[in-house]
Amino acid sequence: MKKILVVEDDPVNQMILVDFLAANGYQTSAASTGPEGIERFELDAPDLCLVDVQLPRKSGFELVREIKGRGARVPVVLMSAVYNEPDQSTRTIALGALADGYLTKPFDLALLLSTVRQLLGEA
Amino acid sequence: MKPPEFIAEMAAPAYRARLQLGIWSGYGVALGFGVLAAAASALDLTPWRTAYVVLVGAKLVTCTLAWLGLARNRAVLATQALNSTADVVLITAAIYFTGGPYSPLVATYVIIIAVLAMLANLGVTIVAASGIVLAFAVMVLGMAAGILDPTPVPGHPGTLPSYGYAITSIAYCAFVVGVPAWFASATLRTLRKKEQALELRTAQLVQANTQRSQFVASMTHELRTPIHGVQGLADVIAAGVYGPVTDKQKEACASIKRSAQQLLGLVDDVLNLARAEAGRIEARPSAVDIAALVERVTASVSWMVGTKNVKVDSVVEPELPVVRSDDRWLAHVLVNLVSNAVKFTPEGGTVTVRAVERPERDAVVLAVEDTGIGIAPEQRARIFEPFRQGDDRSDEKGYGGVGLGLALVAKLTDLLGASVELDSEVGKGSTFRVIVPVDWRGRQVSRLMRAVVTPPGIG
Repeated sequence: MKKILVVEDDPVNQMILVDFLAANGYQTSAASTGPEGIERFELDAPDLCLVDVQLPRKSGFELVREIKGRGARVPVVLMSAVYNEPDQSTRTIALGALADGYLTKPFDLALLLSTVRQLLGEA
Repeated sequence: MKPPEFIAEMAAPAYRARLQLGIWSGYGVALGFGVLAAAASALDLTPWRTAYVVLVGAKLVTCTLAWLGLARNRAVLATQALNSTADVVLITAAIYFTGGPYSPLVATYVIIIAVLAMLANLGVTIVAASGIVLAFAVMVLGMAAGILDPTPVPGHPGTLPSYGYAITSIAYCAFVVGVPAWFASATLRTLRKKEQALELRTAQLVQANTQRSQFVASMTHELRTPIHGVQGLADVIAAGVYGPVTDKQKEACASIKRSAQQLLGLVDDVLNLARAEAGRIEARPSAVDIAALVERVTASVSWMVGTKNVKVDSVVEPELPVVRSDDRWLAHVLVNLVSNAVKFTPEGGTVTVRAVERPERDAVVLAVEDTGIGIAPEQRARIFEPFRQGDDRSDEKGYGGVGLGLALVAKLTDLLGASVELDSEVGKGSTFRVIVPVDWRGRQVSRLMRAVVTPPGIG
């Protein structure tokens, strides 16, 4: 069973992601802050990370850089609730920060699932 | 008789302090002249004349009249004009008594011009300058024609100046240069103070704007996050993640999601409007497929309509030209117009979105027709204002809302270089037409501008 780490500070959104992924056959773990995300990443050795951009104490961008900086080949998907972004600068920054995918909230759960499956090579 | 505007302006309260200053300087100049004349006579540089006393005395009188006029706020312009005319006449007389065109006092005219330029306005200064030239010409021509007797120049020109003459002329020079210099420095000091106040104000405004931008950005995040939660939960429940769901429950989840979507739309409209009013939304023109856009918009609005029995139709003319516009903002305009139409159309009505090429072939017209309540002619202008609906009593008639949608439509069409037209008949329905130019005619905010106003660190 593939493991997915969800790093998201909003408890409701975290619950939605964890429950939805679990219902679709993934083993999940969750963290609410940047540092906690790093800790869980080390402990759980996930196959994929879903990371919110706006996190307390350490932004999602920094988290991606840190995870990637360790030479880990784990795909990371950044998510952001940045509203109405005509120039998509957050997407650009997200992908510039070496993220493997970017989702704007609120996203379709079907889109989330297809993104995850594709990055895990299951599609 | 009505004085010209530039003179009438001088009676304005803003000029009061300056007029008062002019009166004080008038007293100063008159007394300065008196001292100079007394010194010149005592040093035997020029014969003593009773005329000197008359001149200084007359100037003191006009100064006092101007002062009283200003203090009692009566005949302000007339007494000021008299006082200024006295300046010209009396200085010309002083010049005449000290040698006419040969008089060293000719330079004294500069004092009048300097004082007026600093205290009054351009028009008054030009009138005074013309008056001076006229007075001087009358005096010189009067002397040339033999009407005015020639008068001797003070001292003994062509010989070594006596120390007495030297001291008096130095005092005179200091007087002629000093008075304008003092006025210039006073004016410059005031200007410098105003400039500093302006700079401070500008800095405060820039800071306030940045804070506002940051506030809007964080508000956005805070408002949207819980709505995402509501939508996401409705989704996972409907997807059966928490156990089997009945059809009725699925339907309820869809309604929850729709309501949340409406709320999200409202939040977006408020924030978009705030951004548009701050000139902070940017258009990114690209080739827009109108047929696809109409399909997308009608599909999403039909979903939003939910259980209300209003049909949303679309009629798209075949082979429409591809227009250059901003796809997202144009869709937003159309969504707002269609949801507005749905809102004001009673059950059983129809909303039709029609896309046709304008006969001139330079624009595509997106028309949104409804069979709603219509908009009376006197209400048509104000429906595009924020927080206004056509009829302020529309709440009582069951049409809630804050009237944001059309205000945003107005802002966005302006941004896109498009325009909106409205046809309506009360009780029958309304047609909003958005005329989208085929070529891009909209505005783009410069990169620099965005760099200044985009708050850092939003994620």
